[in-house]
Amino acid sequence: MNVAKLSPAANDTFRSAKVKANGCKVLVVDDEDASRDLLAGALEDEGYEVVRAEQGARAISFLKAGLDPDLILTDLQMPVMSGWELCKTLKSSPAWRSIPVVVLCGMTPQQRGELMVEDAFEKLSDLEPILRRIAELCGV
Amino acid sequence: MRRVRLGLIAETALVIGILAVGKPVLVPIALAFYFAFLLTPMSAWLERVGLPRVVSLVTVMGLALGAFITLSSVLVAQLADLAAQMHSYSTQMSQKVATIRHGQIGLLSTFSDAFSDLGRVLSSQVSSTPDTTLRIAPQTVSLGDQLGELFHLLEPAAFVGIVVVLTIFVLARREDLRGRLIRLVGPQNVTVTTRTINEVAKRISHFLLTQSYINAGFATVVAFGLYLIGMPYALLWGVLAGLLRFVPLVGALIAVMLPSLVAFAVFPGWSETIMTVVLFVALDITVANFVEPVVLGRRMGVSSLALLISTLFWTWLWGPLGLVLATPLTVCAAVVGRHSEALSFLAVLLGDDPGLNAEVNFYQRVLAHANDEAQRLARRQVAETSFVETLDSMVVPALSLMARDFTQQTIDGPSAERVLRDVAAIVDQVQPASSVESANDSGVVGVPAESNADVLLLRLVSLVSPGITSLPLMPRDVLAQEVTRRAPPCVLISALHSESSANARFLCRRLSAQMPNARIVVLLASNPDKTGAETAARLREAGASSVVFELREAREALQVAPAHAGRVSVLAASSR
Repeated sequence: MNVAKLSPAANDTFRSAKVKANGCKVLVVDDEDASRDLLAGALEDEGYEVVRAEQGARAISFLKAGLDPDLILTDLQMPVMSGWELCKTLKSSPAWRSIPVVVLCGMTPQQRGELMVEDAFEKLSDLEPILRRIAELCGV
Repeated sequence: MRRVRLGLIAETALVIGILAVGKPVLVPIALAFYFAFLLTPMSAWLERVGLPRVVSLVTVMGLALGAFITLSSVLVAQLADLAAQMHSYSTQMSQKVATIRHGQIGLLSTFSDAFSDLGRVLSSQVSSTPDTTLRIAPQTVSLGDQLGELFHLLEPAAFVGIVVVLTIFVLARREDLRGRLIRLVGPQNVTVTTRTINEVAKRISHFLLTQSYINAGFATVVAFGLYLIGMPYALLWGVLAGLLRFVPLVGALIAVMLPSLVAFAVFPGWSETIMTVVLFVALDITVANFVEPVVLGRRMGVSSLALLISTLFWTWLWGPLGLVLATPLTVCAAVVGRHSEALSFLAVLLGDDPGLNAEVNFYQRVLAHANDEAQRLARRQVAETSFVETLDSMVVPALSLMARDFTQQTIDGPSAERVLRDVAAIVDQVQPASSVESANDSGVVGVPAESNADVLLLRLVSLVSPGITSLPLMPRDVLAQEVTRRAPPCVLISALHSESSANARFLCRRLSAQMPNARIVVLLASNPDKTGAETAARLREAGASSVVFELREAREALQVAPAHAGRVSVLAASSR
């Protein structure tokens, strides 16, 4: 599957104006290794600490073990526990409902409202707006 | 469940059976450890001074045995003398008994008459009973019987010898014994075992040594007091009183009874007997209520009721020696229970910690709608400590318990909201009038991180540190904008520690970026344990100037002038 790519120009812009992430931790949940590594790499370049999970159940097990991320970036189409189920679990739990969630899959505003996620982006889209939104949601 | 209960009963019965059957072996071992605990501090001190172990052992055992033999000989000699003298005291006793019988001492005469009647009945029965005494003709005693009698006489001496030898071995090989015990429990539990052994040794040694000093002082004062009263064998009674104080519960009673009876027999009047009783009672009350609590510390870690029941149990099981060993054995059991999860029931049953911690008790009362009782608990705590201390040690931890239950979905949202309302009402009731006084704006803006519990936490801070402008609960973006618009010199973010502190970190980052000169204090209401410390570190990394865990600390942190609150230096201290 194609994933979002950072254009060279945008890449340079972001590298030159590198955000100081102040210890921000992002949990990236995606079943595709290439996609997950690309997203994680881009976030790490921005100074974020990244934790990777290959599907929703794995992400939940990390949270149960005490992981306290500042944001969760997730795909929707995943085996075992899909992104839909993950979002529902997160937003129905008093312990995790305040963690912002950004979904990497096209969603209608109605679907976003149902899942109560903070934002959604197409997986094929440019990384620049995604990173900007993540920074905004983390307060950096 | 039933099988588990039956299993537990069977195991308990088995342990009691082993203790009862194994008495001849277990009692000397327990006594050896008892004396080893008593003598280890002195032996260890001599070794620290530079003496080799053998020399320190010989010195300690020599001193202990010397003291034992000297005391025993003095006691035996004085007791023998007293026994011989008892015949001459019989006249005085008869006169006093006659006085009682003739009703000169009101109530006593009634009892005396009753006993006299009983005596007459018994003597008439004895006289009417035909003489059935079996008269045995003198017979030759065999060598075997003689040897048996000799062994019977030597039994106590053998017992003392075994205890002495065992004590020497325990003292000499104490590190080796500790190693073996750790190996027995398992090297994976080395930390817990070491902590348990150290606490047992520390508590029991401290108790026995300090008790020895106290009892020696008690014995000296008793002997001197009795000497002044004019009691014969004052030294004997003093030493006996000191020794008997090692025996819990009945020791003090026996100690006062013996000399009082002798005073009753020796002196023609009543004043000496009364003075003897008063001396013992006054001294015992003083020592038990004023000296021991100060010198021994507030407690041995064992509840009084548990000690009473335990004393009865060990006395039933092992007789008089069980009575002496009851206290150290109970302390051992309570300490082991405190460090072992499998035996934690022992700590609950025997320990002197209250059944529930203050915060759990308070939270449980609010949860059960027993707000009056919760209020009483809070009032008592305020009276014993202070309002701030009560909030820090009882109210805020209770809120943390509520937050934990809510995040674990043990209680639902409406119940959590009800608990918050009730706690707020209780705090309103117990707060002192001085904390209600209005104060000038301190320039601090208070921000609840996430929930209504954080709003209440903020309110509690404003009670102990007046002048805070508290913002209501809003979406975090709106909150950050509002704070930035006000541009205060200091911001307080209140956050009951839960599994996620994302909101508090967001606020720290946003506010520190937009107001670089403002001081940002985060009140993270949780235990500063490992999780709390990690959360605090991340908050500092996110831009918090300081992270505090208690209202008292928050008050101090907010009192720091903003001009001195260099965020840059704090960030530098916590930078990656």
